[in-house]
Amino acid sequence: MTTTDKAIIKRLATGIPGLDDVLGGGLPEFSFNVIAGSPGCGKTTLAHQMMFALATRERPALYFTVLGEPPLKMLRYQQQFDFFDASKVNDCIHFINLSEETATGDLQKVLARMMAEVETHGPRLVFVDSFRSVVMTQGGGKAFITLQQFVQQLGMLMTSWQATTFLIGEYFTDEDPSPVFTVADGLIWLRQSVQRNSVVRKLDIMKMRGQPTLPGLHTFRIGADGLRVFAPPRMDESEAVFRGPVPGERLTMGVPGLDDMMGGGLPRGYSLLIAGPTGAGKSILASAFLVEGARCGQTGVLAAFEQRPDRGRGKGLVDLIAAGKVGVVDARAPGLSVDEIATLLIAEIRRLKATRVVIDSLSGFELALAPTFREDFRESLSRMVLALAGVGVSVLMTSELEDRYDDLRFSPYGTAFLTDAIIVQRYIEVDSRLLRVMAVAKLRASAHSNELRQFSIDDDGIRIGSTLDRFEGLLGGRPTRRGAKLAPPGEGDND
Amino acid sequence: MATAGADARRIGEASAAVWRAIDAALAPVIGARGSAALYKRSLHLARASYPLLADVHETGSEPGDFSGLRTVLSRQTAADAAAAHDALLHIFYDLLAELVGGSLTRRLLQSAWEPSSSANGEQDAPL
Repeated sequence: MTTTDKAIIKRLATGIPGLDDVLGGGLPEFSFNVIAGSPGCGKTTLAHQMMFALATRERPALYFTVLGEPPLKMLRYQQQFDFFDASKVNDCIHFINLSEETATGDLQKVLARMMAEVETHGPRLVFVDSFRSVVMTQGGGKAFITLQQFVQQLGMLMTSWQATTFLIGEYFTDEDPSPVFTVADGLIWLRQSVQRNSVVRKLDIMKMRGQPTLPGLHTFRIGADGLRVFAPPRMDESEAVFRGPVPGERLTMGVPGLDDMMGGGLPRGYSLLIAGPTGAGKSILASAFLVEGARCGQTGVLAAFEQRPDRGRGKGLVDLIAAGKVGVVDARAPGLSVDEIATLLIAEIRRLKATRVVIDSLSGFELALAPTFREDFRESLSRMVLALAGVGVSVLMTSELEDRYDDLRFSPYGTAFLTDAIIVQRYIEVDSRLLRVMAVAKLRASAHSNELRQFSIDDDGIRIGSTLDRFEGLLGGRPTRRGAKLAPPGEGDND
Repeated sequence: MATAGADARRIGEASAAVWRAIDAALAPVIGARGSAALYKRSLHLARASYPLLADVHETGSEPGDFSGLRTVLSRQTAADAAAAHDALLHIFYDLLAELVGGSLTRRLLQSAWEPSSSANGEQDAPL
């Protein structure tokens, strides 16, 4: 009965890609927020981007500049971003400089001027940049009392004016006893994490009253279009609908004979790991998978962690990329996070309605990550694979694996457990030649061949040959002959 | 403002009024000191072509005070005063445009060019 009397908190879309997800659905209207972080971490840009996205004539914005960055410079640099729309300035966005009032050191004067401007413009959005300047003008031991009163009064006034408010401030430690944190409804913390010679920008919602934010540090980048936040991968189950029914359907691999080894192909929505030593043909198998998809009318996405995504993948795939049937996620930016790759992948999957995804290779993926993310590689990868599989996308990942002849391993990361299927490739020595063999090591909930099959690579791709019946000890790398001579690759199909 | 027959004194008055309007438009945004700094820099630049403006520069005083300019312009011939005023205005405009771009400059100075428009008038519901 009381439900109808509850206040309804509207949530504002911040206009920053990924931020609404991290906030748990947008920014609560009339909330009192603090954007904190050290100099240069993007606070002012975050504020401007939100303001230009949110401000309209019905929802005007006031941007108070205090001491600190001269407003002339701020305007000069902020207008370089795509979101800066000069036609909104003095229309629905008003910049107000408070340096005169702040210079007096009297917070009452600052507050009085702010209130006068609020009464004049009736803003629904208020920004104060930067707040530390206001704090610092207070000298002496009694400063905190006055500051607390100031912040509380400001918070109260802004709420009663129904203005969503942002205090932009430089705070150096999380443990700062600043009373501002107590009063604030939301606390958005921007950080720059430095590890070795890589710098990564991260964002953290330390507090947001009344809604479930995504905990943890989320990476973001600042580009010409402003901030972009990379929330953990998440795809709605509803998005699986356009992909049709999943059960029972199998994807063909594009390599003659391989589907039979896999009991009919790769079940849709499965993740497949191709593990093998360098040069064994993992990327060629991955390319065949995408080319076969296109032949069946399915689009794909390729995340290539190499110097040139279009090199060494065969003409078929290069043509498909050129024709837009296979999307490429450019994964060569420095300091990547798994979430960022996942965000780019998901965007590309949505755009193309893709059902096949190739990540080539996990080894390159790990190298591309900023050092700070490498420790969490397994967890993040697992999240990403689950998110992709959850909507019926089939993922093929390659993993470089040194041949070790004293044990059978599938991946250097322990990633094997998180994939549904594994194909392992190996080199063996026979008659002073280096031959390749492969086997389906795992295919969850499906019958599959247990044969270790010889294969070769020619201009047409991978050709799967016979089993090596007459040899034993193949996995030891140096098989011993049990009988007749080994048939050369490709000629053993008739056995 | 330099209408035919206008004497230097009136040009001085009008010029000061224009600058007060510009300052009124800019000072709230970039601060009174920011606005004053741009004005003084413009005077400095304009002095190269109009040495008569040197006196204004020397006596440049409080932010928002343009009496120095008014006084100096009033002492010139009408033609000289008008030319100096125009040059100073152009230099100031170009300086601001170079710093924050043409479109933002036009936005910021819009109210200065439209005297006595109460900006919010449109929002009132008619009848």
